[in-house]
Amino acid sequence: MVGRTCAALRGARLWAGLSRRHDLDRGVYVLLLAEHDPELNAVALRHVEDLLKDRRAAGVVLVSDSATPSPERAPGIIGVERWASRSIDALISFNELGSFTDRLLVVSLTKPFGNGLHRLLGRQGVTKEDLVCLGCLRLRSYGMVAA
Amino acid sequence: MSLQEFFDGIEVRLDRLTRQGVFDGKKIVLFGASVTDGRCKRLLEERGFAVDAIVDNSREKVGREYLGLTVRTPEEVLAPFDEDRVVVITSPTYWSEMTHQVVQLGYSKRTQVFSVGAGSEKPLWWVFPARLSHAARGAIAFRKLARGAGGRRTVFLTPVPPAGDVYVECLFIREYVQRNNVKRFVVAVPNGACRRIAELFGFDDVVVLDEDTLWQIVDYARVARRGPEDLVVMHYPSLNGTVAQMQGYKGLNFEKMFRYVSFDLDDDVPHDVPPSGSDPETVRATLVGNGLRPGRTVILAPYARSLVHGHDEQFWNSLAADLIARGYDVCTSGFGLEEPAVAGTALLQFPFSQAVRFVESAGFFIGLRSGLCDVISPANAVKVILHERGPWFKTSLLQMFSLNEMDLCKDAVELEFASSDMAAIFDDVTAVFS
Repeated sequence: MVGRTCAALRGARLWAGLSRRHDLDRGVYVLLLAEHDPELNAVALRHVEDLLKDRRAAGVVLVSDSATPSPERAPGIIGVERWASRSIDALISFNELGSFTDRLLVVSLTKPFGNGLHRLLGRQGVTKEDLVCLGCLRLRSYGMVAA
Repeated sequence: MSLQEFFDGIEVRLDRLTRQGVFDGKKIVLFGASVTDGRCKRLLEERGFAVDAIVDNSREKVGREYLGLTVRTPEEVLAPFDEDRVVVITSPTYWSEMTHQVVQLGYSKRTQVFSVGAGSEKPLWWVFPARLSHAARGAIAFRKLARGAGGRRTVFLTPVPPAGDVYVECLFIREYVQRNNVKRFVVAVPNGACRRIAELFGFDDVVVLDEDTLWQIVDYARVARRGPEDLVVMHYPSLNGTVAQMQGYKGLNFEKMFRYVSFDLDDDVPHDVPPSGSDPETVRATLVGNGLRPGRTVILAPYARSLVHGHDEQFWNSLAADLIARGYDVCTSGFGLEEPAVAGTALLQFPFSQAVRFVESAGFFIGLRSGLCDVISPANAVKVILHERGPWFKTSLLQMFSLNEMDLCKDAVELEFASSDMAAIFDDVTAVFS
């Protein structure tokens, strides 16, 4: 618990730095690629433009750890940061303490803790793309039927 | 934070804005077509303010009727800029981007756009220690709870009060216990009604803790990344709201969400349906003692806490009168001063443990969708379940909570109504009895 609290505090500082560097308040989202899953990350990057449109975002900042292959820069990505995995974990710890911001989108089927998306994969025909678009990116327009 | 605290927070903020006069003479726009916004609309109406429009960014909600209004896009309603409009946002998740969107249309963040969702305006330096303190208290409460008389035990916990949620959760506990070789366990719930539901399933160890404590344990689980070996948070959106975004998508109804997300069980796992309970003859005798004929009695269940527009007295009075005229005996299932009998009917009080038998003995049941409907779902009787019309993520409330879709039964007659106009389904309900 103490360790996690320290990590969350560190995550808060990292978030404040990100927010300052990229002026997130103007409508910029941070896409945190928290897994070493190329397929998952590729799906997320493929939908960056949808994210911009759906959330009326001013841009997206990609954050991934140094072990993740360098993502292709899609239109709308205004910044890319490579962090140590410990820092990524700290940012997730910060998010676990309380969802302090809606500007942070974590691309993972298991993180932050309690994210049960992985348990839906393959059930009822749910795909990774469904989980990333609806769960991680919260795209309102994805998979919807117009009235 | 409990759901009640969340709604209380909305009420406090609305009261403050009312005192400040921000709604006076203004056209109020609710940003969001959700159950929370429905509550907010009702709270505004109770304070004498009519909501002029409901807007939402979701394409599937736009164009549909909700709470007596047609949902429109924000741009449709808010552009061009109109200084007489005020925008109320209830979402605790999307409030900042919604505010940003409305501000971009020219509205003032200070005088025209108000976020009334819980915690949305609190600064980080305030929220951080508060959350930490919650989690620390949760750690202490969890340790106490996990220490049983026979040694350490796994805690199955739900922090939310709807008894129907507990019913669905309990359908899977035994299977989970077997598969995961859990030796001892305790079920922790937030109130007596939930405890009674859990006890229907024959669990020996069920404890009631106040909602705040249960949420503190959930906070602790999330912060400490604890579970699922010794702590199972059964209510799937509590730990992390991400998965809730999948609700209703590709047929992921309420039952499926619990089955898959909370318990990781496949479709072939049958429900652990509780036994029907008491002796049918005793129940028949109770009905007769109340002047009700077994097999010819309609039990009305007109109360549901989740209902946006509250109890529609006129609808239920007319329905009771119509059924009596058709030759049925009619009674009302209700508890306490807030749930009186429908006019012309007797008040029939029965515990959850006897609910199935009572409905089977009576023969007929008409109820608003509530936890009681889950409990009586196995009853061999005519069951008419009334679902409020409204959006629920990727689907409707009906599709999400249908007893038939959830495989709780296959024979329920399920009807959808608009809470602003229950009378519209009167003929559909009475047709079942003709």
